[in-house]
Amino acid sequence: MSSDIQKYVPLKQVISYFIDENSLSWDELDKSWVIAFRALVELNQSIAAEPITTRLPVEGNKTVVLPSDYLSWSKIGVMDSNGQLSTLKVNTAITTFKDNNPNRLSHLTPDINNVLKSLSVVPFYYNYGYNGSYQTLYGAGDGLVQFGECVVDETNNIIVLEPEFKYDSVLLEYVSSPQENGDYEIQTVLQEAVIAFLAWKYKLGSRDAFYAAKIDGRRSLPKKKVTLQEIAQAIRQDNGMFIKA
Amino acid sequence: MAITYTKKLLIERVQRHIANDFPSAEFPISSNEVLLYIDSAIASTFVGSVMGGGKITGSMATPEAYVVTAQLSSLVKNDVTGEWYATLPQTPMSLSLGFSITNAYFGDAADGVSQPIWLIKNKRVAYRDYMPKPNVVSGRVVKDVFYLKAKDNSPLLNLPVYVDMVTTRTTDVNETIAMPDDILDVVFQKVVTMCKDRMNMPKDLIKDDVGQGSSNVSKV
Repeated sequence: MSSDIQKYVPLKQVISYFIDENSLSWDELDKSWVIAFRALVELNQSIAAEPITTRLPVEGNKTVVLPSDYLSWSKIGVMDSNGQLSTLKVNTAITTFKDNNPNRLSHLTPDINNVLKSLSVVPFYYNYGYNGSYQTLYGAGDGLVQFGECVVDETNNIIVLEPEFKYDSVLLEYVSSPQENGDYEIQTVLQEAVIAFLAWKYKLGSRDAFYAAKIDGRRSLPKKKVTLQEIAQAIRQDNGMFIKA
Repeated sequence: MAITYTKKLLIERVQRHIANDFPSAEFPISSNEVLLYIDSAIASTFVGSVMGGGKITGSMATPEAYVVTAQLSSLVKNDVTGEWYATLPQTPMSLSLGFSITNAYFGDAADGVSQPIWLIKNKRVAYRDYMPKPNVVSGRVVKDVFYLKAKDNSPLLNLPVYVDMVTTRTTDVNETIAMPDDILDVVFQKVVTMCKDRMNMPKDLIKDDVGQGSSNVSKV
């Protein structure tokens, strides 16, 4: 196996391809690296990011501080006994009011009674029968079987949990900011997309060519490849006996 | 080993050409003056060669024969900017950095050659720090001073810097000229032309077989 082809390729190597291909001079290294870095950002935001999972402690005010390299989240949940991540419900009704205050919980003084079923004027069909009682259709405690509720406050970089959240930590699967290790690296299947981006910005190519290279690279990403194993599994899981319509 | 071509030889060739004999002590143009003409002729010929080559091939490139590797003097820190600097053998040619300076790197016998130093053009220096930087040592040139800075500001003390650059100068007239042979004649002609201008030499047409009455040479 050739060591010249790895799963990841450093930006220095990609820009060297580009400079060599176009017979540019060595003083273009720095400028082309900056443009390649922009390509990395663009690709990372769209298709190239590989989420990582971390366990984060729940603070006393029922919030969770996001990691410093956090860019965007893909899953928030708790671990079950089978090692699976069981997601929390994203409840946008949870207020972010004073959510970075250590005494947040004491500030959550209700203005209204949120248990609608106790209001005599609310018809029963506004509620949802669950576990022998009626629950509200919205807001915290609406009856879906999940282990908690949360909302992400991107501005303050925290996850806000419901006041009654029961667990000491949450699992977060998130897209992180790439860290430089000698140089930034990108999946090798996307190196032609970076080169096309460079050509576009050097007025040697076009956005269309970059987009085509990006789509081409995306189809070759390991997580996007379709395997016979996955197809067979999908057929087994989806196979059922149904009444013909 | 081929015979090397030095500036001393070229000076002598020019002097003989003009004096039509061994130059005497009264030769009106000094050797140093001819040397200046030679240096400027090499420089202008080099720039023309790069530009001309670019027109033909579509991409500019520095002809290898002009390039000389020079080890710079020890780096000194500029306490104001935090940069480390050394003096280049001469002011770079008036082409962009990749053509006048073709490579720069650290090197020593124990560790070999480093990754290249990344050049920053002067027009990019003002805003370069606003953008992310690769983990390299970057360099910029002001006149004949080469300023270097590592991304993490790590000290560059005692690191030997080598520069591959086009040079028209030599340490003395006996040093081999860094120039392809096919350019020699161009340089020679340019220098002779400049010498003629300097001397304001008349260009006589001498025809020995023409009678005195038909000669274009003044009888006075």
